[in-house]
Amino acid sequence: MNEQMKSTPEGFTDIPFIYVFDGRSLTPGADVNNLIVSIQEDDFVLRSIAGMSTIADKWKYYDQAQMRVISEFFATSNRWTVVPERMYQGNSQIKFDLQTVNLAANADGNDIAFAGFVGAKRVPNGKYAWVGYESDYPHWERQFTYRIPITLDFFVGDASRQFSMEITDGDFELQTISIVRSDTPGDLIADPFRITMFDPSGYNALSDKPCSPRWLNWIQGNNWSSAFPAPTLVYPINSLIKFEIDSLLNAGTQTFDITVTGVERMPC
Amino acid sequence: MQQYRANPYASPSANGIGRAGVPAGFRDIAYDYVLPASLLANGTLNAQMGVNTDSDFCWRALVFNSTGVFSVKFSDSDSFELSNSAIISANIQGDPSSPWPILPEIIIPAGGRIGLELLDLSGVDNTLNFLFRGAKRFTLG
Repeated sequence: MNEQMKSTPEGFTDIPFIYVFDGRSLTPGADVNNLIVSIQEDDFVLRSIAGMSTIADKWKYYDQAQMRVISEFFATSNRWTVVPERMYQGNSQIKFDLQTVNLAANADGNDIAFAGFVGAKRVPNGKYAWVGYESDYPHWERQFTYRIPITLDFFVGDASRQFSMEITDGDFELQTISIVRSDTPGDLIADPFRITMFDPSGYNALSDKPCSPRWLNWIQGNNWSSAFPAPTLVYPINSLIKFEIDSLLNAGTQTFDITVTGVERMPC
Repeated sequence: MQQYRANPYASPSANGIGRAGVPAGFRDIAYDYVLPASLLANGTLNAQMGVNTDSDFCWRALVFNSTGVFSVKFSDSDSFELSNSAIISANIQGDPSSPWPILPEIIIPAGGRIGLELLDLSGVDNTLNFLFRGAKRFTLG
């Protein structure tokens, strides 16, 4: 991946990150301009936009200099790729306009109007202790999957709950996340919950607000084209893969399986 | 340099497509041109997508939506046609996450145009919207 290595400057590391726009307070049918997502202190490389189709019929967005990236309004989509990737400096904003707000809702009637600006934070090496971690023991590699069962027996408005899985046999390079319903097995059609994923330290979220599971779900079809994290993350042995779940259900109980697949570095 | 752990399951764009392949002295900035068009029932239209005068445009992909089936024949800025006949829209479907690719990319010079010969095949009035995906290629000063 020489091309990717070239795109990350000397002294910096890219960390997968999602900035989330919550569109639930917008008025259906309205046209809304000058909406913003605020970038935190680190530079952000924007690589795709997920879920704008759950908020409005048409949209356009702007670069850091407030210049249009799309010449006119165009139909929203589940996933909008950004090629070449676009840099937004730390403490800047991603601005966008919407035409005809059209909020999606889940089976319980709760709005699921969220858009994710997906890419990578470009942080100075050394900012987080885990950045740049390499397995320093003799090892061989194999594909491995951890299964994390989720019981959603709490409801919209309740406090979020944490679920986690300890990395046990060797360092684990996380490559894909798949989420399916397990009580009536099948795809996630409309979001029954929102999810926040944490980095290998377990302290820092990989998004500024909870995400739609469809933005992370590699197994999901329908042109979501989700593959998170990119770049991958290495969770050292004895660390936790941790998720926080916010329910979007009104009643009842549903169960889900989150499976995380990647490369396990087995000691030898 | 810090090793970049590209995700083998992710698309190249999710892993980040930087500026490799851009000729020396230039810089590519992601940009998309939108062209709305309307066709009367069974009608024809010669449309042009004008490119801004600030930079060349690297046309790399096409997305469109329409209220009915139509056919289209594209031409580049030198009026060279890109197919031997008009193509039925169902054969060039794409959406913004998986657009119809233009390989190799077509460079439309600043102030140039992309030509479209459109024909409605739906038999009723047809509203079209084209998205020409690509990048503005700026000259570094």
